[in-house]
Amino acid sequence: MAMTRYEKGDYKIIGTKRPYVDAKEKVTGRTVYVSDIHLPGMLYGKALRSPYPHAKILNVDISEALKVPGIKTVLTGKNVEQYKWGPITKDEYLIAVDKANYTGDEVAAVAGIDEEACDEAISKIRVEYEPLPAILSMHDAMKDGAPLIHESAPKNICNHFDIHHGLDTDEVFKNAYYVHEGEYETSLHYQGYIEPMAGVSVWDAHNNVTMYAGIQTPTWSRNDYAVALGIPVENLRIVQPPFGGGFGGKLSQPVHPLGALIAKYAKQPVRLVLDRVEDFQCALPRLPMYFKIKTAWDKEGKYLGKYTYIIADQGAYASYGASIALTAMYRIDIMYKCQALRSVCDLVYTNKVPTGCYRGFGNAQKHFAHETHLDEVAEVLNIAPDELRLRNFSGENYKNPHGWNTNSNAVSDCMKRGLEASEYHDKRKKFFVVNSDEKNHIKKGIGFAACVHVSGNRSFIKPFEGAAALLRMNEQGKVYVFSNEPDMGQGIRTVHSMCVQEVLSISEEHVCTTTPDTDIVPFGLGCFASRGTYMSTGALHMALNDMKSKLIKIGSEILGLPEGELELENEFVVSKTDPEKKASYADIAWKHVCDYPGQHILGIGYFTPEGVEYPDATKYNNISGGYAFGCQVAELEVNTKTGQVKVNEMWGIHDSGQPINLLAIEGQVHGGMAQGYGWALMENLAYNDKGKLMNPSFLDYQMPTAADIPKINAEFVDSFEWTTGFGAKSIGEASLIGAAPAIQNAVYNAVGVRINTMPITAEKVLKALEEKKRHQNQKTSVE
Amino acid sequence: MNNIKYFLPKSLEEAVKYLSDNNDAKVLAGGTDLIVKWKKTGCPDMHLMDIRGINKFAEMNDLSEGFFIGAGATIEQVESCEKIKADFPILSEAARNVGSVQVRNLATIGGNSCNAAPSADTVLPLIVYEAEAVIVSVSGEKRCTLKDFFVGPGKTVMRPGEMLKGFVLPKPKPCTVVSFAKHSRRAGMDLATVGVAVKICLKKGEKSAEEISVALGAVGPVPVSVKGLEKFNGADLSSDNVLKEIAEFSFEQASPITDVRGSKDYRSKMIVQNVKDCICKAIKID
Repeated sequence: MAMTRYEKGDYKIIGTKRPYVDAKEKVTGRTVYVSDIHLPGMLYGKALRSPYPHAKILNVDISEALKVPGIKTVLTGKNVEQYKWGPITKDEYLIAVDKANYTGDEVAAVAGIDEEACDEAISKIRVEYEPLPAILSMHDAMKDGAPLIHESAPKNICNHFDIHHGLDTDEVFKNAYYVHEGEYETSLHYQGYIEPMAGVSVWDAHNNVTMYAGIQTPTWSRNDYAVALGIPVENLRIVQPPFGGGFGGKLSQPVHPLGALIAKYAKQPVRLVLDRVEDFQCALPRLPMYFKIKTAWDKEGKYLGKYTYIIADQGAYASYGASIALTAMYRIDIMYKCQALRSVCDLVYTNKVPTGCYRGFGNAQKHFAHETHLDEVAEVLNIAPDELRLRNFSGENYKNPHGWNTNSNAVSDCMKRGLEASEYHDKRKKFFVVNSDEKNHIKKGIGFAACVHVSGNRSFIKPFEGAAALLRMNEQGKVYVFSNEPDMGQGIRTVHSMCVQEVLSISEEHVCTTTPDTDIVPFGLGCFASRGTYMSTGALHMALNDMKSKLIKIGSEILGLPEGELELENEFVVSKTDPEKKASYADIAWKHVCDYPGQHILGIGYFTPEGVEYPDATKYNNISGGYAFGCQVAELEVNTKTGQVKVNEMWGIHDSGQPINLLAIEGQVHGGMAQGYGWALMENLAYNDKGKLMNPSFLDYQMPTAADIPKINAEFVDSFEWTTGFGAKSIGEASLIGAAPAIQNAVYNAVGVRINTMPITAEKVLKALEEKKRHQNQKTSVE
Repeated sequence: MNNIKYFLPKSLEEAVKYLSDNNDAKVLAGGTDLIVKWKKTGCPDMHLMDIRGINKFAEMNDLSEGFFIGAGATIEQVESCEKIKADFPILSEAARNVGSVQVRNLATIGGNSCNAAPSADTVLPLIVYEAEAVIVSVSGEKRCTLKDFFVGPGKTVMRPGEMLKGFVLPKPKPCTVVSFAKHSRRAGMDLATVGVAVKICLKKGEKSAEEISVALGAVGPVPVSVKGLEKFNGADLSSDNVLKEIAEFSFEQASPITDVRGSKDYRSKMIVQNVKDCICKAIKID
């Protein structure tokens, strides 16, 4: 069957710049976030956390804690009914039972009338621990004699993956003109959203629980949370109020079900909001990964083969580790036409914070390694980095050895435009001259990275891919949008509103984009894998056409004109030939509720990306309908006396298909590149040799401030993804993943050293410069 | 539970009297260190005397012997004071490097010293400007040069019943050149990895010094005022070797450690580098 091919429309609203529909509430402090919610009779919850990275729990004495005035309940792993859970691997209890597996692991929990009572009760719980040897580095996890963290994972390997598609890599390496090897390691990167993990839970008399939660996946996560609590999924309702950012961290995570568990025993509503130190200690930051990449090339720079070995450090519990590791293994393979691909990964446990999804989802780690690697190869082959990529970029309708295929693909345009906008080639020449002056200790550099991400990842959740949308026009002609794809600050409510305004020719004031409540919205998967806009606007496109045809039909009855003669304009159904003949939406909506007593006009839509299938056992099959591409460029200077790197300007040029809200999508590029910048140069959750997190604060965990972030130029190349109604692909994750390798490549351009273990701190740069100098001196003395 | 005893004196005399009668009372000015530390230590019982009601503490004025800056002047007031910008430019510059806008609007110049953190930004210029701390108690006023004010991390020479009234900064001699460096990991909201302040009295029309003062921050338990620099009086500061000697001589008096902000090794190198850079900047050679 031929694929549906959507065409770009003559848009009036789509592609323009619109402030967020909820901007006024937010900037005037009216928005009620999760942590602002106060229910009648609500108690505060708090967890006692393990001070050891790995310890047997011998005894928990709660007798003194129970005596604290205002304390309603004190829970331990053994006095509650709970079940091992996890979004992929079920390896975690909400409250540790026999063993704590990282510093910060929940060992007990309390509910009390205020935070002070909770703090006091927590301080009075006596836990007897037997400390065990801990694994604090992923490189130690698989060693002989390493302590075992989970019985179910011998050698601390949670998953071992080996994916091999296309030509035989060994053969390709044997016959290649050039084989390049490199090792790279990424750091533990914290999302730093403005509102920590938070939820408020309340149980009714029939064992139903309502959870007010900051969550990216409201309807889907019910499945995970119900397992942890041991209740039927249908008993769990999640209401998702506005929340302060997710960046991937707020898919299924332990704080929501733990809050519900405490509320169940307290028999009152419970608010569980992490404080910032706790959020640093036990939220779900980005997995650190070690990469060994080996690639094969012919003389002209044709990319022949790639072998990747990865150790992925998921910390104490698996969370989404397996999916993230898989993404690191092969996502980038849709950007280059390489025909021999093998990737092996050991996903290991360590006694550190459990990790999870963070903007880029394993693909960010791989981009750092791979886009660094390609610049290394380009240098050896004496081919310009852009030329090497250009010779190997995939294009439209490219099918790779994993069975993935692109539809729209403007990666070459992105790179060309990125290099043109940043004057990359001129600057490389100019900087070469400036940097050759030995007296000059400020060296300049410019570097770039190409990037690719998905718009939805089919390999992530098995049952289905896609989204649904429900529109309801009330009796006054106002349109309500119900979607399971939540707004976490990325602006999807505004995207939905703009699509409605575009198709129905209706003002923003008459469109209401609701926040998800699982009792009301259609079932769905949520916002992750950069799927929100691509999927939900695909569904919305269908729902809008449904509603549009109903409006025309009723309008035709009222006006006594054939449907074909009617169109929608400024909230009227209007005759195309005689604008005087028109019926208002209000009149049409009222007629409908009178004719069908009380029934509103509905618009129903669903979307599933064509040609996308769940991967088979060998991980073959196309995982996304909309691969989004980009090129990110960084221009910087390095102080050779101090090693400090100062980025002066960055460019993010993207193929996101048709932008819906240009203002928001530019903001995404700014935000993503800023986070990529921080990851590249300064951010890392650091543990000491006792397994304690050393920097659980915004002072010691350095994120860039507004004073650090350079000017960022966001641009979008002309593109339309024909598999979805409005042609939109993704930007959320694509916007982060190019910045770090671009900075790395620019640092190399400036001073000729690469820091392959992130972050690229001043200290590491200085050390590398000293080593380079020593090396050169030795060479000179030998000569 | 939070148990805070709070007193708001209306005059300097009342404050001093109260402090003498209540040795456990802590002086609250900006609170940006005190309250944060209190929260970090689990909000123990605390006795506070709030001096924000006393205007005298926030005064800045000319005295015959120099310029007086009240301990309660906010960092922002110090940063934007025209007199300080003109006569003590690196004090203004250091003030601009403290915390964030919000912190600078609350925090005080006195608090930055009394908190006795080795990384305090404004302390270094105060040391090289030879500021004297004016300490008051019921028994009257006394002075202590700021370089002798600090005795350990979080500890100053002030005894129970004493409090800081302000600083007197002697007017620098003509021909004085200065510079300041805060070596940190990010541009804003950071503590120094290494801080350096340099003051040099240049011989007229020359690049040699009559007198050199160097202060170092974040490289030991207390801010370091480098001793024995007289041996470089008269030395030619345009010589790389001289710069290197001064920097290494200064470094000898530091005792940097490894922490999340930087390793001992990197800090050591950055002391030497920043002292050299500061001298060059002060005497305007590249």
